Amino acid sequence: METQKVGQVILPGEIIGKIKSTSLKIGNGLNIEEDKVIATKGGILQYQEKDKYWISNFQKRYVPKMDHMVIGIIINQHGENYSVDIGSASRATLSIFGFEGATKKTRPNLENRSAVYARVIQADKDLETELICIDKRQKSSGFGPLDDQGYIFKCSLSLAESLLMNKTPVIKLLSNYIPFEIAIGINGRIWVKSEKPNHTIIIVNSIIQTEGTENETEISKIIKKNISVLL
Amino acid sequence: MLTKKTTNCEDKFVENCIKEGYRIDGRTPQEMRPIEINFGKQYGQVQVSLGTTKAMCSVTGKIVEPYKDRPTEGNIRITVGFSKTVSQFLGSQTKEEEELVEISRMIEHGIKQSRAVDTESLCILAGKKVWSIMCNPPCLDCFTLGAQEVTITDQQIEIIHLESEREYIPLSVHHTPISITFAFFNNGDFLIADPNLVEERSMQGSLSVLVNSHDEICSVQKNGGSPLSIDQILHCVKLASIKAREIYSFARRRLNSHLEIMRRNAYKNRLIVSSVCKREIVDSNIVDDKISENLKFISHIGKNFEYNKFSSENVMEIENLDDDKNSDEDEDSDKNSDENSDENKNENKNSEYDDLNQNLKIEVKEEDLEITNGNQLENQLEIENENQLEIENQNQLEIENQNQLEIQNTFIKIPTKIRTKRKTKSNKISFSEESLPKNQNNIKNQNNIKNQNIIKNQNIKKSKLINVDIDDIFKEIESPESFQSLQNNLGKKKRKMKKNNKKK
Repeated sequence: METQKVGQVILPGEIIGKIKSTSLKIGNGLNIEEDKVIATKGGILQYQEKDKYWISNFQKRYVPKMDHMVIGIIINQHGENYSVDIGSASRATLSIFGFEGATKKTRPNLENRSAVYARVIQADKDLETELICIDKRQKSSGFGPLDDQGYIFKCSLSLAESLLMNKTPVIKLLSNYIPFEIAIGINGRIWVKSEKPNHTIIIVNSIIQTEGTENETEISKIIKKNISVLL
Repeated sequence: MLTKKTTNCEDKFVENCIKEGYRIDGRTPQEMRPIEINFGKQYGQVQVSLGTTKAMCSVTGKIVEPYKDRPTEGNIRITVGFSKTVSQFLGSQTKEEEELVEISRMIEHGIKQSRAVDTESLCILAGKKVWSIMCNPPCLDCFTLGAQEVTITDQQIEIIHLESEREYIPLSVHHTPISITFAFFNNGDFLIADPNLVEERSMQGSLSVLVNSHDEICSVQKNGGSPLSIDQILHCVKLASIKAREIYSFARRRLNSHLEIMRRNAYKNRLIVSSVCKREIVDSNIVDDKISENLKFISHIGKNFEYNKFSSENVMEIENLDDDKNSDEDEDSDKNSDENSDENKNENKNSEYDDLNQNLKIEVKEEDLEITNGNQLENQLEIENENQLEIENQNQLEIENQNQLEIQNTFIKIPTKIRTKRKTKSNKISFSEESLPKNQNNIKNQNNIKNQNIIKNQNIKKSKLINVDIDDIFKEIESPESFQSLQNNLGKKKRKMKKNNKKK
């Protein structure tokens, strides 16, 4: 597909280009109609090598998709399923047996209002979304319940994406000064844990304030301002 | 109180922060969020924002028959509503309704029972006509601010004139109660002023106080089950009174500047409209063409005089005389009753607007004048028999809550007098020094300083940073361990740096 609109602002309904090659991966905010690719959201067109196109904006509402890694809040337990709040329009289900080493006798005791890091298995618009806390090789590898002593906050989806794809060097620069653990969910929720509440506040604020930029110098200035409160 | 769709993480984190004297915003425990006030284009519309929570408020009036018990008093009614972004935090509808009832009751107590507004001044004809005012403020602290400003600026008219014809008279308001809320945690050990969204969702109870600028308490409401001692409540009330005074003075300044602008515009409108009306008395055949010409001219003037849309609409209505008979008859009754005075006034005004006069030469027909004189009496009777005449500008209201974390350096200054009186007790109530862990040396010292003199400490901090470069300190940091050691040995390093700088 040939387009000159990469990196430009696009409004919903604009035609982006015609399809020529068969290998085209279309992501968020784009639809195919016959030959053409049309935008359904407003935002900036992004492009990655080898035919990957998508639209990025400062959206906060999450639409679940396969193999997304999400932070969910447990609301209820109905029989053998937990109902989990992801931030999407409807709630998701997590079965009891979706944890590492779970059998009928050994059940995970998760309380209401506790946080969970999980992976999306089924994400259809007509069916309920389903989650699981296991890797493909049936090991936890980071999934599962999150510690009570961290702090969860919300951000826009694009921030979470850029953090997960390592576009911004915020986390690296922060790690020079403060030790911390972090878990990022694509649904716009981030969990942070460190020794003192001071430090978590600094981390949270510096992540939010460096949302638009990718420059190391700008980001390091903001981080230094925030850390200088401690000194 | 908002229902809990939060995580355990947030609750515990917020409590831990407050035990050590921090807040997620970066505020001190007794600091309020910054207040912004924006006025709408018409009287009676305000938007107030405390940080990122916003409340819109509007005040409107109706003419209504009074209650038979009280024939000389008017009514005030208050209605509250939430927007959808807020209702997602509340869960079910019943809880939403409960909260709304809470808030509206608080405001009603504060305004009605404390007689903030003089209801007798709302009387027009004893036993027959009376103003009933509807305040639509939707967040508590924002509300009372919004409602009061709106009531201060509200209009009162005799037989409904537009502002283009007579000056509006403001409502007589005796005093303005302002509400300030405190959230408490851990069974009443820790108190915060003006909680955030996150803090409000994880608090265990709240105390909201409606105070005057004259240090009179209008109402107090305590939500939640954890007990508070008398000392704590008195402390809160004193804090609230100080802050209410500052907020009131701030709001007053903004109001007055806004009112000046509105009145200037209104005066200009009045001059122009009166000059137009005098010239343009009716022949329906001529009307359309002339109106279109004059409208363009008037709208052109409007841009130069900084018109509001309000004024141009009035001009429209006055000119569409066939459609609205009431406006027709009002104008003519006024003019014919006050002919001499108005003519004299207009002669003086016309000298200022000679350009206008050149373009507005319309033929006056004597036949039309006679007709209007004859119908004058009948029209006046019709007006008196109408019980309800509604004013146009009623708006719907919503709140917007947004959850964002920012470090804010603004704060409202607290005078040191009260602090000196209650030094020991205030430290115990709001900051429990005993609960601080002993390992944190520097941070504990900083907290102790903060507890006693917040203002002085901030000034001291700034002066310290100026003398020492931040970048020089950061060059030496290579790993988190070295950072921690830096924190512990800061005093020594800063002295070394100062010496080095002095030598240079």
